[in-house]
Amino acid sequence: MSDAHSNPPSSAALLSSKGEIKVWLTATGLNVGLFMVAGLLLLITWNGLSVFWPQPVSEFTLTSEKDGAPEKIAGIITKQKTRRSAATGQAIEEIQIFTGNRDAYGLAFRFLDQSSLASTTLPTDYIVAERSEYGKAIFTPVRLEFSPTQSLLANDPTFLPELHRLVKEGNDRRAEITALEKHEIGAINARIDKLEIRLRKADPSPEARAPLEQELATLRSEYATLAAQATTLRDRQKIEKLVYRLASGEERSQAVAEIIHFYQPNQLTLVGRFKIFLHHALAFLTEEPREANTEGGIFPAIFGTFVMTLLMAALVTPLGIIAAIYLHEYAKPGIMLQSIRICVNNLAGVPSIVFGVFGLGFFVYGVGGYIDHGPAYPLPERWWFLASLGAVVTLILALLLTLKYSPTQALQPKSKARSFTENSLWISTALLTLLTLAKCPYFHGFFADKLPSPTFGTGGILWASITLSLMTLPVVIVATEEALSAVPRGVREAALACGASKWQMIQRIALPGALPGVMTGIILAMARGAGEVAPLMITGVVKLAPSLPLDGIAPFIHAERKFMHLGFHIFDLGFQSPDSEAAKPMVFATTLLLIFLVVVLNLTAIQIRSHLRRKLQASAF
Amino acid sequence: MPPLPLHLQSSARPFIEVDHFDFWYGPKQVLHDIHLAFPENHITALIGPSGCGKTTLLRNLNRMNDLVDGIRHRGDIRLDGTSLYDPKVEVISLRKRVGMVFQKYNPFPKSIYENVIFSLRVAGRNDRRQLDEVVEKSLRQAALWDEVKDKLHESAFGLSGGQQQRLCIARAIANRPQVLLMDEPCAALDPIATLKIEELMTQLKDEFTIVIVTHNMEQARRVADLTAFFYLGKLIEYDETLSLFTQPSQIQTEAYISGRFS
Ligand SMILES: Nc1ncnc2c1ncn2[C@@H]1O[C@H](COP(=O)(O)OP(=O)(O)OP(=O)(O)O)[C@@H](O)[C@H]1O
Ligand SMILES: [Mg+2]
Repeated sequence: MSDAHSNPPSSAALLSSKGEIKVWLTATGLNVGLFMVAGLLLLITWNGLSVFWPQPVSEFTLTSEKDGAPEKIAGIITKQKTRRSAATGQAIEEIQIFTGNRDAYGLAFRFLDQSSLASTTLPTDYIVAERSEYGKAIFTPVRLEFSPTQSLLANDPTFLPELHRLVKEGNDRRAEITALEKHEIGAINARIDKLEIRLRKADPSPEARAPLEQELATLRSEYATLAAQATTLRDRQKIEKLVYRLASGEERSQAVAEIIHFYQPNQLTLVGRFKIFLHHALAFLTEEPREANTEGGIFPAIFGTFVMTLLMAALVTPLGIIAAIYLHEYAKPGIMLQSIRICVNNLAGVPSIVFGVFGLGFFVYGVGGYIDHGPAYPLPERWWFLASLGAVVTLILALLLTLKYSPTQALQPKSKARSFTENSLWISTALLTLLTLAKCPYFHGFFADKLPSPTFGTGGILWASITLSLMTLPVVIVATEEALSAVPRGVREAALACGASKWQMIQRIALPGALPGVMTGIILAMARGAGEVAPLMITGVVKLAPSLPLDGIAPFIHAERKFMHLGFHIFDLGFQSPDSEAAKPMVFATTLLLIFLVVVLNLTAIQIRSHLRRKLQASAF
Repeated sequence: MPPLPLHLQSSARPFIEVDHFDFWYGPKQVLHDIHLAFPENHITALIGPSGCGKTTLLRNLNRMNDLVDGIRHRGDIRLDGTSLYDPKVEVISLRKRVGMVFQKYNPFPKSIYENVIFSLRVAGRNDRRQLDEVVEKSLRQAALWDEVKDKLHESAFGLSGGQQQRLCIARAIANRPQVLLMDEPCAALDPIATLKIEELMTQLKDEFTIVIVTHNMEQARRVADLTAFFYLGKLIEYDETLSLFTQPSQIQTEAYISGRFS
């Protein structure tokens, strides 16, 4: 002890002896990670939310002149930066403004040098209007033209209310047109298609064809009436015109009904801004995309992601739970079980695109093609009969062998040879049955009439969901197995001691006890599936789906339809769209939504897990 | 024929007979040539130092050890004259005849009500009135009714340890087994709960044949009619409780019950 006092260790030695350096190192690592994640989230949240915030419109007067007057331009400042001039090497202050009015200017964005600006003002009468075509317009209103002779000037006090009314009317009429064209005409089209197919198949005698043709004619006339209605409505949309002036002085005229929504950004109070913000956010969530997805909402993508994820969960849950129950409760421990576990775990690490390729090859082309047009290479009839006979015979043999073994004899283990024959009989039954089904020469598909256009033999929401459920299967299996091993042995034994069979014990005690863990697994699988893009791209996701996978036209669930997906939407907007600058806000907003979705799913999983932990602790004492 | 202790041979019927029974966990032999009979409607206590195989013997009486891999046995156990290992005996119906209370209380994560009637549910009995009756009767016999009658549908985990153990006893007797096996039922309980369970056992013995494992000499003395002393997997001595404790015939027994055991 006196030794330690007389000879104090150096501070470095002290540090390393306490392992404090390592603590610092690990803490730094953690901090870097946290910082990066927080930065990313902050960036996305800020950019994603600011998309919806109504920003003021500035009017810039340039030093340059045009037609004898100083040039003016109006827009929303989106970026400010310094750039080093290539010629002089001097720093140049530069701003990027969003000018809108793509129809007038050709581009929606413009860069201006600070030095070229003479003055900047915030005039109050600017209007920002969202239109169904050409994106946003930024202008000062001039007058409303109700007819070539009747008009209302912008300084009239009734001008704004009147504009609001007309815009609303236009929106209502547009909704009516959509309903007509999409739903009613769509339903009639579907019926006409069916009839035409029946007509094609019907025998050529005129008696048989007459009623069908009659019906077809009625449908066609109904179609014509509806189409005429739609055209009338469309023409009605063009009557009222709004004349407006751009900052440059140019006057333009535009159908009022094409304006979806407008506001005067420089007159808004904070509350007003907030209302517009909410309106934008809501429209983003509930509307369909316009203009190559760069405008409008992303509702179909949200809906597609939602339906796909639910379908996937519905497929992966029973499969995963059954597999996990077998692995954990029934399978004999040994090399076989070990290697199966390793395989399952490795499956989780296979790149998702590989699953996509498999899904395309097996589900889309294989199974989908089979559903469409029957087997591509059917067996010759004689061989097929032999195969089906074989299936029946092996099935009978296997049944006889298995059932003759009464459960009371269960104590004496089956002889090796016997269980081997039994297993191989069952396996060959399964294989032969599969063969007879897959190669049946008498089956010509359910959708042969529609060929050569494929129904199930092309990417669709069903195949995408199945592919993803295969990909997320390991997550559910592992989670379920873990949850099952967390069920205390004492409780299981108690159940058996009460006279429960093994299956009753699993069903009534083990599974309910494991349920929270199983749910966690399913939610994690859903979170993973919802954020996946690569395998979807080749199994059924499209940039713009004409219709939703669920709708009001029988049979309501259209499992073969292509669909839109948030993850793919981000990719498409950011990297495939013609005007990437215009699409950027949508990319951020969509990313924010997708991250939000995944975070919510993960938080739910964590919540359930901690709930489970509390419950297990309660059972410990 | 495994014998009953002398004084009972005329008055009681052997209900469970363990006939030259050896038992192995894998390569390890845990029970050596156990040969004894448990009389009907009596309480028999199994005592002995830790690891001597009491639980193993008990778990063989309802074939609970079938769950363990690599077990092996020789000899026979008969319940009411039929061998447990008879191919015609179904394990499930056997376990319905032989109830078990475990060393560590283990209620199911269900309501008190559902805990008690679990064995009836798995037997497919769902008649509400019958179930209500069974719940009340079993809980009364387990001396728990008055404490829980107002919260039958609350979780069993809300009960105290002693109450949970009594709930497990109620669960074990709910479908009226013929035999009740109790593995240190009072190990985790306070003296008052212990006393209640001992009272309960004395009441239940009119109806059940009870085998209890205990480390508590006093308890064996208080409740058991017969006591068997085990040591290193062998049955050393088996006699009427009073004579085993007052005049043990083997020196190991004497050493154990007087606490001079190394
Ligand atoms: N599942 C098992 N697998 C292998 N060996 C076991 C198993 N269960 C018990 N044993 C062994 O069998 C022997 C007897 O165990 P048993 O549980 O019957 O003892 P016990 O008399 O009940 O002891 P205690 O009084 O501590 O409960 C012990 O040596 C133990 O190690
Ligand atoms: Mg024990």
